[in-house]
Amino acid sequence: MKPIKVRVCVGTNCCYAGSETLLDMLENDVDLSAFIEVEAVPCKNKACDGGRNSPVVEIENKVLLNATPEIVMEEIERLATARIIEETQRA
Amino acid sequence: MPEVFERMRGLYTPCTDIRRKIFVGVTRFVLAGKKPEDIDYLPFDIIDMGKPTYRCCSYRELSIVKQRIRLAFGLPLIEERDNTPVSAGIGEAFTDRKVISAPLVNVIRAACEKCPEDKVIVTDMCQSCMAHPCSIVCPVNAISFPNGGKAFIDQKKCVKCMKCVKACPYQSITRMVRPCAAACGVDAIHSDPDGYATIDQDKCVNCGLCTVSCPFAAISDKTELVQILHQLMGPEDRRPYAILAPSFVGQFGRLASPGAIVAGLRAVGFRGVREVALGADCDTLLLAKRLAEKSSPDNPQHKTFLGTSCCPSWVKTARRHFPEFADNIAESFTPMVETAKIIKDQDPSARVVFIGPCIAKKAEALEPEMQPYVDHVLTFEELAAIFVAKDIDLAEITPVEFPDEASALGRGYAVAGGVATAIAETARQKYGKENIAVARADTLRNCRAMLADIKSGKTSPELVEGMACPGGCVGGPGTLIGLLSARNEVGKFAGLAPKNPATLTK
Repeated sequence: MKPIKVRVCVGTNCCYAGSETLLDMLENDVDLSAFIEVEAVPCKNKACDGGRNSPVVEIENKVLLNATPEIVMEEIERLATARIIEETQRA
Repeated sequence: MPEVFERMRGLYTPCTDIRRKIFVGVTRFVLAGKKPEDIDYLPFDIIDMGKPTYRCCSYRELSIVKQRIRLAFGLPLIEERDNTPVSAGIGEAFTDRKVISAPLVNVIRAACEKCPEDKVIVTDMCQSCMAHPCSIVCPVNAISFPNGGKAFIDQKKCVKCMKCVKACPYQSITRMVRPCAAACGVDAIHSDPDGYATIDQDKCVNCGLCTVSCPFAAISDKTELVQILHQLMGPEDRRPYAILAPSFVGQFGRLASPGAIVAGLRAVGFRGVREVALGADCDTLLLAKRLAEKSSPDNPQHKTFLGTSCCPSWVKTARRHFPEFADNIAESFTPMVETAKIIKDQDPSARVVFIGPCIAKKAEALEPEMQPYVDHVLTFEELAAIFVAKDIDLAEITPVEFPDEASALGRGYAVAGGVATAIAETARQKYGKENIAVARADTLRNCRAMLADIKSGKTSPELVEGMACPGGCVGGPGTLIGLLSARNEVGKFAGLAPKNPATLTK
C-alpha cells in the first residue's frame, strides 16, 4: 500500500499541546510503520490559533485540529481501509 | 510492567492538558496587564462552564481550577469549605518579589477522588471456579465465596501477600494502589480522616513525582510564573538571567535547537542565558578531588563511599533515612547554585532564574543558605507557557549562538548514571584513579534499597549516585517530552560540547 502522509506540527504551541508525544507514538508503532510516513513539520498558516486548536496534524491533504491520538488514528484507519480496497479493486 | 506511577508518563493526558491550560491562562492574564480584581473572570478563560470536560460537572471543575490558579500564582491553597473565597489575598502575588513558601506540593482536596490506599480486590473476571486456588493459598483465610458466588476478600484479614493474585487461573484478582502514594519514594502520602490523600510535609522531599502520577491531577506544586513575568515586564536592568538545566535539550520540540531556545528566552525578556552543565563541571571537579583524597588509607573516610549531591531530593532522603551516611553525601552546592554563583560573582545585583525539570529545586531555592544565589525556579513546562502566551515559535525563531561553556560530562548530568560517570572519568583523568566501584539508583525507593544494601554490607561501592526521578532529570515532573527522546537529545548535545572547557582545565 502507498503510505499515508502524516505531518505533525512541532511548532511551540503544538508541542505544548502534546504533538511530540503524539509523534513518539506514531514513529514507534511498528505495526503502523507499513501504512504511514510521518514527518515533523513547522507551523503552517498559524492554523493552531495561538494554541487553541493545537495540536495540528495534516493527514494527506486534510487538516485535523485539536488532533488527539484517537482522532489521528481514526483518520489513518479510514484512509488506509479506503486505499487497500481501492488497490485490490484495481488489481 | 512499569511502576504504577510510570504508566502515564510520556503521554499527553487531560491531566497534562488542564495543567498547561492553567499556566497559559495565568500567563496571558498577567501579560494583558489584568489586575487582582479581574481574577474572578480568569477561570472562565480556561474552562467552559457549559461543557464539563475534565470532571462530572462544571461547578466542581470551577472549584478545582480556582485552586490551581492560586498555586500557579504561588499562593497557598484556600479551601472553600473553610468559607473563604478562593481569590482571597490574590493581590499579594502581583509582584516581582518572591512569594512562594513551603509546602510546595499540595493536595487539592476538591480534586482528590479518595481512591483506596492499597487493596487487593476480586474483579468481575472471577468465574467462581471449582479449583478456587485463591482461598487455598491464602495464608490468613481472608477469601470466602458468599452464597457460592464470586470470591470475596475480607479486607480486615488480607495481608496483601499477593499469593491469590498469582494463583488465580483467570487473573481476576488485582492489587489496586493509590498512584500518588506508589509514586512517593519516601512514604509521605497517607489519608486524612475523610479519606483524602494528604502529604506529610515532614517526610516529603519535594521530588514532585506525585504531581504527575495522580490520574485526577489532584496534586500540584506552586509556581513562580507570575512573579517572574512581572520581572520580565519590568525595567531592563532588573530583568533576570536564565540558567538552563542540562535536561533542557529537545524539551521544546525537535525543531527548537538549543540556539533557538536561547533566542526564545531573550525574546521573552531574559538578560542572558547560561547552561547549568557549567555548574555541573564545578561539582564534578570537587567530587573527583574528594574521591581521590578518600582513596588514601589515612583518610578517615577511606572505607566509606562518596555520595553525589546534585539531586536535592536524593540528598534529603539519604540523610533522613540513613543518618549514619549523612557525612558521606558531598557537602557541595548543586550545579544550579554553582552556576548562579558564577553569574552573581560577576554581577551581584543580578537576578537568576533556574529553568529545569525539577520541583525539588523550588524547595532548594527556598532554603536560606541558597537564597542569595538562586532567586526563582521555573520548570520547562511553566516556561513553555510563556512562549505560547507570547506566541513565540521556537521552531521558526532565528537561533542565536549557544553559549557553549560546559563539557560533555557536565551535560550528561541530566541522565541517570551521568553524574557518576562524570566524576569517575574525571578522577581517572586528573588523579589516575582507575576501577572505581560505582553504585547508582534512580527513584527514591530504589535509592533507599541501594543504601540499605550498603548498610548491610551486601555492596561496598566507593562512589554512589542517587537520583529521585526515573531515568534521572530527563524523567523529572517538569519535563515536556518523553524519557527516551529526552535521553537521546541530551546525548547528542553532549557530543557537541567543547572538548576542553575552561572550568575543567583550570
